[in-house]
Parts: sequence; C-alpha cells; structure tokens
Amino acid sequence: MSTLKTLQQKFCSAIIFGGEHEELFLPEIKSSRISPSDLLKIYRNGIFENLCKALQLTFPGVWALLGDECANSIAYAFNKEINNLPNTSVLDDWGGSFPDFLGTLQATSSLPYLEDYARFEWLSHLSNCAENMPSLSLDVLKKINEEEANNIRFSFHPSIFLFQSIFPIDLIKNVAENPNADSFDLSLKPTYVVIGRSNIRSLSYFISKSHWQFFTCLKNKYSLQEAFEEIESTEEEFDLVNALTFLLSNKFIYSIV
Amino acid sequence: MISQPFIGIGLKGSHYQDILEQKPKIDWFEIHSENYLIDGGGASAMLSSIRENYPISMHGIGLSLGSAEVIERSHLVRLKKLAEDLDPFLISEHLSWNYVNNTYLPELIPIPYTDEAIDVFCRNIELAQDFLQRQILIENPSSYIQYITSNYDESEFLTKIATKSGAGILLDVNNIYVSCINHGWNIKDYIHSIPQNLVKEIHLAGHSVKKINDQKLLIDTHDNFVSQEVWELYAMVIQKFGNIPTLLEWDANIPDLSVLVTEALKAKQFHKTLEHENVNA
Repeated sequence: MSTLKTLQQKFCSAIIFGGEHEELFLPEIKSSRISPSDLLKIYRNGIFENLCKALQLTFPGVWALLGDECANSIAYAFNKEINNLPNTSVLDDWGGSFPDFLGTLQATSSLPYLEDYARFEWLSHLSNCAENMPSLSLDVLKKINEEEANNIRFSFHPSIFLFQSIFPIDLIKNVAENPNADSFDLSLKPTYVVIGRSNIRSLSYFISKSHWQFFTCLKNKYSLQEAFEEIESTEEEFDLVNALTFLLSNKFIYSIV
Repeated sequence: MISQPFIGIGLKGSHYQDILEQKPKIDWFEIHSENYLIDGGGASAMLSSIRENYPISMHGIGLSLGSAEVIERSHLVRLKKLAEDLDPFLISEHLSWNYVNNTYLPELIPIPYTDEAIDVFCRNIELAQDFLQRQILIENPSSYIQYITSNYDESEFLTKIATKSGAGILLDVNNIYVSCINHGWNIKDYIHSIPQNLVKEIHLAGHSVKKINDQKLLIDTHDNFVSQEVWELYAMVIQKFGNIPTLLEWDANIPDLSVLVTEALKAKQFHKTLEHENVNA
C-alpha cells in the first residue's frame, strides 16, 4: 500500500476513533509550539461541526424540537459511528439513516414522534432536491376517452412522496416552525401526507386516509380503475373526481401511460 | 486580458432573493459546486436565474484531488453536468484531500508535500481536466499541521503540480497569511516563489484567532471582514500578479448582501492605488 494511502487511513481512524488510533497518527505531525494532539483536534472539531451543520440543514425541525445543544449531541453520537459517515461529498445525499438512529436512542424515548418527524423531514429534503420535470398537460387528459381512462397509469413527479404516521405530523410541524405555537396532543388521530414541490420549495399536504391510500395505489402503478376499486371496497363514498382534481391541480403528475 | 478589476463574492442561499431583486454591482459570483450537484429544485432554479445576469465560477470542496485513491468518476459526471448547465468561467478545487476508504471527511485536510503526493495529485488533476475538458485551478489551503515526511515547501509543491499537470493556481491570500503565521513560513518568499503566469484567481476572506495554551493559532473561518494584514498582502499580490479575478469568501455568520458587496469592492481601491503608482512611476 502507498505511503500516502496509509497516512490517510491513519488520519481518518485518528479523527473518528481517537485513543490508540490517534497515538498511531500523531508522530506523522511535525512538532511545533502547539501539541500535535491539539492541532488534530482543530480538524476533528471542524469535521464533526460540518457534519452536524449538514444534518441541521436537512432536519431543521428536529433541531427546533430538541434545541441546539441536545440535537448537536445526538448528531455527534450519530457521526461517531463509522457506518453513518457520508460516502459522498454531496451532503444533500447523506442523512437518510438519521431518523432510524433517532429511533434507537434512549435519550429521546420521551419524544416517540421524533423518528417519524425526522423521516418526514428527510422526504421533504428529497423532494426539495428532486429532478425538475414538467407537469402533465390537461390537454393530454382531454384526449383520453372513457374506456382508455380506466386503464391509464400515472407517473408521479419525482418530487412527490407519500408519508403516513401515527402521530399528528401537521401539529408537530407547526410547533417546530413556530416557537410560540401551542403544544400538541399526541392522542390526536394519525396523519397522511403528500409531500411535493411547488416552484422552489417543498410543501406538505395533509390529506384523508382514503385519498392517501388511493394515491399510494396510483404511485405503485395501479391503473386508475384498479386503484378506484381498491379504495371503493373499503369506502363506498370515495369521491374520485375530487381526488383526481387534487392530484392534477397541484401538478403532482408528469405523465400517463 | 481583463482591463478593469473583476471582483466577485461567494453566492449564499440567504442572498438569492436580494440578488435577483437588487442586482448588486458586483462582477461575478462563485458557488460551492457540491451545493448544486442535485437533480433540481429551488437552489438550482435560483442559481439559473442569477446566472442570467452574472458570470459564475465553480469552486469545489469534494473532489479530493489529494486522495491516494483515484477520484470518483460519479462525482466528475455530476460536476461536468453542472458545468455544462452553467458555463462557468473558472473551475477550481483545493490542494487537499478528504476521502478515504469510502468515507468523506468534510474538511480540507492537508497532504504531505512529497514526490509521491506530486504524482497522486497530478494523476487526479489530469483525470479531472481530461474528463471536464478544461483547465482547473488548485487553491493553496489554510493548514494547522505539517507532516514530518514533507520535503517541499508548499509554494514549491503547488508550483510543481500546476506546471506538471497544466492546472492553474487559485491563490488564496488569506490562506497564505494563515498558514505562514501558523507555521512560521516567510510570506514574501511564498508569494515570490509562485510564477506569475500560473495564477488565474485570487481569494480573500476573514479569519479568526484561537488561543491554545497561550499560543495563538489562526483559523480560516470565513466569518469576518478581511484583516488589514491580508489586505496589505493583497496589494503585494496584485502588484506581482496583476489584474486577476478576485473573490471575497464569507461562509459563516453571513451578513447582509450589501455588507459583502462593500467589503469585496474594497479590492477595487487597491487596484486604483496600484494603477496610480504605476502611472506616476
């Protein structure tokens, strides 16, 4: 192995694990008026601070709900596990396993909704970064006859994500975004969300369970008829026109097949 | 050849709206490439709108040209796509590494200045330049450690890799100041050892002072105004290298757009003074 590669591996281990790994690396540093250990600390602090900042940008609500000090401590613990570190320099691609990590923590067990809220924020982030695509023109739909309509399948815009939680994500979001908002009651009913992007930022649409189930069927490539039959079997009063109007007016669809 | 000083600032998300509305009198913007290597969305849309009115340069922090491992092709693919969209007038990276064994460490970590590192750096720069089909610039870093195995001065190392690989140099005046003070290097020797024809861009930024056991260490924090010492160094640099595109970086504790623009445009005053001195001479 090259000398440079060995040095870089030793540096990486010293930063992440410290202890004996740091002792192995320190002799590589030229002595100066400041100890090698203190100098290495500058890099370690910089790396973990940058990783924390990246997570905070992706999960601003988690930081708001926990407070900076607590959230930074949790982020530090997350980043100390080598498998959680990024394998890409595009930090927008990184952080998807942070919600799972939150779910394993004893320290946040009094906030059972935190993992779900983080998952919701991750999907909002993915929505924000998703590819730009034109939405479906209504003219295309006008050309479809009734028989064909039953068999069409929708392709959703890449920025669309469907999310459900047993917690009131809408109320939690309100508290996370507005420090003066009233606290929320966890006993409230579960929430169903469509996350999408309007122009430049992601938006959340809190919808009914039946709409959510219908959209999930469509997103999973059920035909319009199949999706409708699936929902109608459990909800006879399902308003198909209302659901389709919602999808199309919010530009969630980019093509049909 | 640029006849007027060409002064830019780093593009920050918090300034998008103000830039589009106010169209500040700044010559260009520089982006951190990795912030825009995404498929779409708001940041990309804002950048496209700003690009309609201003030249853009792409400044990378994640290519890890100093990694002993070969640089990631997937990263180059994304960089090239962004460059095709933006048509930047410059693309730059750092004299550092931050990627090993499938792990990315978000810092500009120094490399030992050795013959092996020259070969590694030149191999990676040539790969990047061949793929991007253009010259890239390499920026001198701020550093807090030196390696016992280094056998070149930083300026000598930088010159060697630029000359051998065909890259240009992005001379960061604040980084020269920070590293020279931290390591006791001679600032004038550093600047005078860089050949004039290699420097294609200059960076300016603020730094901070950290005290460790009563010893001062300068940290490249990009969170403040440019220090008087760095402005004086800038005057020396433009006297040697001439009218080179100059950029003010400010990446933390980011002030209002007008503060950044005013600070950046101070650079023009140094060019005027130099011009005046040249006329009188």
